[in-house]
Amino acid sequence: MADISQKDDRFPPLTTRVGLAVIAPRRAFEISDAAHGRAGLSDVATLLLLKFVCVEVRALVAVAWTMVTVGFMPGLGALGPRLQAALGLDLIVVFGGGVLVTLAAGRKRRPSRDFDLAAVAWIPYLVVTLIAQLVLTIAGVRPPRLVNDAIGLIALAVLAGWLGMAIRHARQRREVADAGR
Amino acid sequence: MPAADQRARVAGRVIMALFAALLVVNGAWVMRHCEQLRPVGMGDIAPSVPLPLVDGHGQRALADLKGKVVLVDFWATWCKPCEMTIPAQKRLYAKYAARGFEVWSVNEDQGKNAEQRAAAYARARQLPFPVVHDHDGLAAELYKVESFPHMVIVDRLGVVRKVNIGVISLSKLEEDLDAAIAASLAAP
Repeated sequence: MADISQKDDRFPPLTTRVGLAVIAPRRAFEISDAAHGRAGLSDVATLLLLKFVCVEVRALVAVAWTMVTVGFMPGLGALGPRLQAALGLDLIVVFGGGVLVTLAAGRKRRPSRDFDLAAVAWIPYLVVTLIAQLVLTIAGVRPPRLVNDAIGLIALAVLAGWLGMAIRHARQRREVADAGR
Repeated sequence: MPAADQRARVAGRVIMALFAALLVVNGAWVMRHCEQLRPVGMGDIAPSVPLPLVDGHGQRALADLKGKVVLVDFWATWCKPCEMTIPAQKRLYAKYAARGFEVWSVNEDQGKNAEQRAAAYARARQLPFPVVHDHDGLAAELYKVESFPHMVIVDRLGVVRKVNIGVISLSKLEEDLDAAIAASLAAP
């Protein structure tokens, strides 16, 4: 497997890696697998930060208000549960996906890279949930439970498909000299 | 650059635009409704809404307790820190109830059988005060409750005297609530 590093011209920037995860997942898995931890989980961290800032603006302002009207520590205290509510499921999905890929990879397993593959598989799931959130926010409606469940199911179906591809990629890894990494 | 990468770059930009759109839409909402996000704080009139008692015997609103010093407590059965505050609430209730102190205990469980769950929880922990169920989250919305436990001390005139969110130290929480209740009871 080719070694791709950030200094390499072939190493695509974050925007391209995110796009690849959606439209060309096999190449995205290839890049992530060969990037020695510079893609995959690190992209998850960046995207989760972006998601929190963009989706939870109201919560962030509410926390700022709490800091002003009630106190700094109570405001900070309110931030934790909000972070958990906003990002908890995504982290569970990435971690659970990583465990799944690593278990399914058999003798070709390389846990740190398997988690990177799961991180790539999580990106389309994120995109589906973001599109749904944008539509619902613009529509200004609080959706009934049925709609939320349907969105969740679609996102999970996409995730399952991409995780399947991630597992196949992991199982088809070529033996390489740096297998210990 | 491979053709797939070029297409991916465009797709990636579209996804980043999605983030930007969410930021703009949410930001615009915040600009219009910033004041609505302000939590009930000290000096504000405490909002009151009638809520059903979990034991099924009618309703109870904060307004029903006017003339008393009230601890408004927003909690949920799954909230461990909330559970940790129960002994302190019981002690404060035992200490001050005779002098005109009450607890408006607002359960925020949602979903199937939430009310029954809250009733069973209150029975199991032998709460000495009634519990109401905020079935549609209206009370939490009015107080801008973002996390539990969220406690508010309201004086005899219905004015908020203290707000406490979360638990950093149980002893400090009890000390603070005790001081706020005692000061509110002593006020004319």
